[in-house]
Amino acid sequence: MAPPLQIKGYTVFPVVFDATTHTKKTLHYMFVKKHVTKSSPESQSRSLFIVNIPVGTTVKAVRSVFSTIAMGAIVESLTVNEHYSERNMINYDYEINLTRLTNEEMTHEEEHPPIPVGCAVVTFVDKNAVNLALGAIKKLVNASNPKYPVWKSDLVTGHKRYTASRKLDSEQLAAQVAQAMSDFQQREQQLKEELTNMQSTVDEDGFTLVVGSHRKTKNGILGSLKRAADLEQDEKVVKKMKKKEKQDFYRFQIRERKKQEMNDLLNKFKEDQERVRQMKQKRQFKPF
Amino acid sequence: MVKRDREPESGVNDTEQGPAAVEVNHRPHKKAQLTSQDVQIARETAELFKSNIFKLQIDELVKELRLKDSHCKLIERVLHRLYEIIQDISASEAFSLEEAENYFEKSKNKVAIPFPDPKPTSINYKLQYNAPTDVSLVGSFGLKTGIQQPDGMAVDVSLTMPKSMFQPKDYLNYKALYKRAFYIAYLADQLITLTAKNHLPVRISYEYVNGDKLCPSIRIDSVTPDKVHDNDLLFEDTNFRVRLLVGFEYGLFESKKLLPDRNCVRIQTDDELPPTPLYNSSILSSTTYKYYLKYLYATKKTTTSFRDATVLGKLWLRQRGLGSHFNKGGFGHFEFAVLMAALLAGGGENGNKVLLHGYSSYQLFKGTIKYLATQDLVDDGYLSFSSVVGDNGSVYKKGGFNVPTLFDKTTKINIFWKMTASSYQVLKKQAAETLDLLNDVVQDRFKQTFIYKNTQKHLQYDMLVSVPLKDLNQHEKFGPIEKITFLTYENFVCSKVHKLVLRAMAERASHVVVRLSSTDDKWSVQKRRPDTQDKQVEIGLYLNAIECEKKITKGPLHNDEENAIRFRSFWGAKAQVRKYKDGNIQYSCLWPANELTVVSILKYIFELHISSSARLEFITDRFWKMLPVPLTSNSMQLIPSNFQQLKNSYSELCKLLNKIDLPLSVKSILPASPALRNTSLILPVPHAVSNPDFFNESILQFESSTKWPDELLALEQTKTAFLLKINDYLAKNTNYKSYLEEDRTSVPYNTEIKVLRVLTPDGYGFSFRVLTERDEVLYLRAIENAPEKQRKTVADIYLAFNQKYMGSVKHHRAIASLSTYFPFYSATVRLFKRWLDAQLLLSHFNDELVELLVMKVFVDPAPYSVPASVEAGFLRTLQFLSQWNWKDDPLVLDLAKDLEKSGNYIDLVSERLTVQAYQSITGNFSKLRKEDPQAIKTQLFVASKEDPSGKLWSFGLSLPIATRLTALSKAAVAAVSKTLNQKTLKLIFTPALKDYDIVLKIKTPTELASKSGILPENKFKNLVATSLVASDDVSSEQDPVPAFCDELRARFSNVMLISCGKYTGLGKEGRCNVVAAILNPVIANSKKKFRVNVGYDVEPTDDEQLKLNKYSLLSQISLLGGDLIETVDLNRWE
Repeated sequence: MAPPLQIKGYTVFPVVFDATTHTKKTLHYMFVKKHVTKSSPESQSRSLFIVNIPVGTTVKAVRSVFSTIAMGAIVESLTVNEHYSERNMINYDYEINLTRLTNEEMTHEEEHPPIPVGCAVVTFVDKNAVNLALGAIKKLVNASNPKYPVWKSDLVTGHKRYTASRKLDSEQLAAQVAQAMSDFQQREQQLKEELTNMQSTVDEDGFTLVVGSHRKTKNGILGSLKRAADLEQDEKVVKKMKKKEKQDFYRFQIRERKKQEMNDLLNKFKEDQERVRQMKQKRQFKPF
Repeated sequence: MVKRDREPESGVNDTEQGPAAVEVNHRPHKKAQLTSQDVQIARETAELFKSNIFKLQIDELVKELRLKDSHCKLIERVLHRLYEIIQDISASEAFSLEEAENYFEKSKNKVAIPFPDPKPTSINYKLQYNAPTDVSLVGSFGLKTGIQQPDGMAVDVSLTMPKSMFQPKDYLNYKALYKRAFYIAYLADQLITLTAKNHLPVRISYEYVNGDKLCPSIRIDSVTPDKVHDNDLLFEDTNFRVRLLVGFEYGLFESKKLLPDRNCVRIQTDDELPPTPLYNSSILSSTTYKYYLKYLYATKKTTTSFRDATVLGKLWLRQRGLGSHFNKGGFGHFEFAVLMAALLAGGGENGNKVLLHGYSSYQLFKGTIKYLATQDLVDDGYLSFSSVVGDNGSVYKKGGFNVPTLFDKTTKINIFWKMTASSYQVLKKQAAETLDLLNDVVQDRFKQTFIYKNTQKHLQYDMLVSVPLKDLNQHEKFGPIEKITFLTYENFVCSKVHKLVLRAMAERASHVVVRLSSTDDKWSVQKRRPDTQDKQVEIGLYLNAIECEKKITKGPLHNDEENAIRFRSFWGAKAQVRKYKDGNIQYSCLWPANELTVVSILKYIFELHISSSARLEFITDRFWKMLPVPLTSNSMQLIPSNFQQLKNSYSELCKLLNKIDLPLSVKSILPASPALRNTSLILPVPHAVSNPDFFNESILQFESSTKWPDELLALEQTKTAFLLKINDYLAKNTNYKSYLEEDRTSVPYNTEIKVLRVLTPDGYGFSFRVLTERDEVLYLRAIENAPEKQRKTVADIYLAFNQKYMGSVKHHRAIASLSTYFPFYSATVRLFKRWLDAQLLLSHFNDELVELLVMKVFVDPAPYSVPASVEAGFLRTLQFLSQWNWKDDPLVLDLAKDLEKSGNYIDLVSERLTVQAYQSITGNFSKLRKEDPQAIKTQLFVASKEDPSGKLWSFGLSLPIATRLTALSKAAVAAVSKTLNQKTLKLIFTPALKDYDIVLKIKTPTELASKSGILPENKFKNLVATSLVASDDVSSEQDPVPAFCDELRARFSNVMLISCGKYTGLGKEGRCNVVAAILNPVIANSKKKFRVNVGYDVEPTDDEQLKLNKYSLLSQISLLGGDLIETVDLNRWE
């Protein structure tokens, strides 16, 4: 059975997984299209957008595939977004940035639109190369007896892959941490300065912002964030207030309380009846 | 026994509460406007019963147990017909023994006379049948207290032999019994003929009443003939059977002569004749069938709730395997009812009433249970009552008879005559445990009290030992005196074994039960007595967890001559004199280290005192053998010393870390690792780096500071800086080796987490991560700031953080103290992990969840007791999981259970679960289920005070896994309930690989068992190097399978569920493992429209849609696995 050649404007691009001792020769299908963004329209684009990338999509693997089908299509770079969801908790439907969520001001500006999951963008050296590659794919799939390229990954696999050292080089790590911390401090400093500026500026109504010396961020002053602990405190305060009120001072209070108790009792009873009815339905009273 | 000093708040406070007090509370509040009937009922039940819900549940239960009216009507017709038939039987001639035997031999039914042993050879009186003076309905059917039972209901009919047939001295030497035996035979013979004529097709056989070999009866079962006649009365469907008890007239013999301390069987002996209590009681109780029916009926008339209360009692006894039968302990429905009646007429030391006529069924039941649980009717005293209706002379009298005694002054019968001191103790223990349940004001204990069964012998006791009866070979010792006191050989052997085991176990066992594996009560009318079958003597032990495994049995001081002789004669060659540290020189027995002490003792003592051919069958050691043996030692220890060595190494390291000079000083280092709380499956062994649990986690906290960055990832960088400083210090100043590693899995999305790995000089591994006071605030802030649609994912991130950094520490603290408090917890939880791993489930659960599930049977054991053996703990955990309906029921654990009693729990921080805490937890559960009624998101809700949310440890589990856990435990319990031997055990621990779509058999290039610290199977310890050498690169020696499985999960968990064995070292040859996967059926069988971010491997279909590319998926998996994969098996692939 021949696969369809095109789907929704994407060219189907099969690659081959060679047979191994455990598996038969199989075809893996990628779907390719020219990568189009605002900054690079179709005529300008020198990248291919690939959907459904296989395991081991590295620059080397991609280069090898394209070099077998189109000699001149030289790959320059590759960006991928592999499906890799640890503990099955990563949600690919939206981007979650913990930095932004915990302190918006600290977010780094440069953020490029992410590539959808399971996709890759292959950038070629020039426009010709990309056209050459796409042409070659189209030609390949249209051929009467196509010889699809073999997927050769340079992935380290098996025993070696899973016993590889995970030791981090402490010096490198130290340098990286130092850099990150100094970046953070810089940004913090910058924000502080902004804050001091605000302190000195008088707004339209003639007010200035009062800033305590130990405050670090703008958020800390401008928007107080509700925290779990705050809520708890609130409850305590409410309780304290209630304690001061006398509960059985007026006659109506006593009357109301008794009425309330009676109603509670009745409600509880009704609830219990309902529960037992449900239990009966589930045949929970069969002791044998 | 566990006693609590709290009383229910709204329930019955005490049984002493008078009816007047109850009456006052009845009156509805006048001032309240609401005086509907409902309010009144609601109030009443809350006071008369434990709570409303309890009352409603009891009502339903009693309704459920009621006999079907149609069945009762039918059986009444049967009884009428039977009555007519019996009336038709005419008197027989008076036969001599020989004539009688000839008569039956010639008759066509060939009935045998069911003479009790010893069979008479010559008698100087006549045997005859005369019409009974009375035929009446007795027993629970007569009293209308019968309940539906799976094995059917026996309707007892008593026939009274005419007084004229007996001489006053006939109670002596079996005379009356021989006369009755003939009477029964004649009756049976006639019935066989007459029932056939009168259209009552039945099968007639003999049956001993409650296993009493002196008292045969006629059992009548309905049969459906090949050709049914219109007039035939069939009652097979009702599951009823009729039992004809042949009794003597009340007061036939002088009851004083038959008191339990009298001898009524005269034999030739030089000694004084021993009393024959069993014989005496059997005869006396044969005179009182109708008498006690009247007594109980009168009680029922005066006490409205008596009927329901006896129904509850009957069910309670049944669910615990107790009954009137000798082999079931001799305390059944009848004894329960009489005791309750006696307590309604007094029962206190001054004759004050324990139960009152106005009590509800629940109060009557609880009062009786409380009496059983708290009064001693064996040694301290006995209960004496009068069965004359209206006589309130029921008094508890001091000074017991060393046998359980409920003495009826009127009839001179000890109602408890079939019980033994040991069966009484077991009853008392069960009652005490039930009393605790009834006193529980926090949780609803209805199911544990009445619904759950505790009759399976492997689950009931801590240890079950069986030995074939024929191996015991005690016939020589069963002389004439034993014959008249014990009546049967079996009874004699059981009693002897019981005495022996009790003495040998001493404090090691709290209760010893000796029973026969089967009893032959029913037999053909053509035989005098049932054929003897091959039976087992079963010894059920309730062990004392703290004492039972002590390696030394201490005896008297060496200069205490008198006791020393007794000690030596009991223990034989094992008794040696030893000197102890405290200076005492004592007789002691020392038991081998490589075997369970209880097993050693029993084996030794049976050989010494019973017979060397007695082959004791144990299963307990098979369970122990399922646990991996460490390289370092193979001695049997409940909590192996490996754990202590690890703890020592850990505290050394902690001391060191506390000393390091850092910008902020270390505030606390808290462990959160299974091996540090005695629960790791593989025991910690130095340098065993292939063990996936080699590194033990700890949470490091510094003193508080305002300088932590106010942003999550930057905060993480700062923590790393601290870890780097420690790393530096260790490298420069100590011989500890350390490095940092990335941790991307613990908290997804937090990409900057680093952990510090430390290798100690003695070869252990520890891992540290930093927690600051800012972390939680920041995660919570992230939830607050997240847009609505992201909120769930961010909340999960917080949960993951909480698990790793906070929950784990709390959990560790709770379990660590409980694991020392329950000596068998450690081994049980390890065995359970082993089972989960064998079933490829362990990798889906976190250690904490598994530990909590196992903890359930320790802190909340009902209907069992706290397990005191590994098999009891393990099987009960399976039993619990097999019947836990997690869709409807939360699991709420009280982890502070009884800790106040143990001295070693110094830092007792948590208190017991309160009603409020419990309600808030169940509130959480109902909220959760309202949102997720099908349990798609959260399956197992396991909460404690440490985690009221109930999902901290079970979130991330999936529905198929939870379902599989239930299914597998059901299968295991079903297998065990049939037989439990080594084969069953092996079966339980074998995974069903056919259930998976893809099965990858893994074989690692190197053997990992010894490198994991496990003694490889089939290898002797002396052939393996027992100490491992330190390796420079830990990673290169690690077990590759977990990492492989992790990657597969990360890449493909959206299309398939991947399982694997967690420990390759435990596999065959220490290098085999399995990775198995089930494809998500929804994805595997459906097509999808083309979408860029479909997220899994697809192939195009002809109609320009997408479907899963199974084979390419397989190629990718096999590409990643590379040389690890030995074979690939596919199931159900077209």
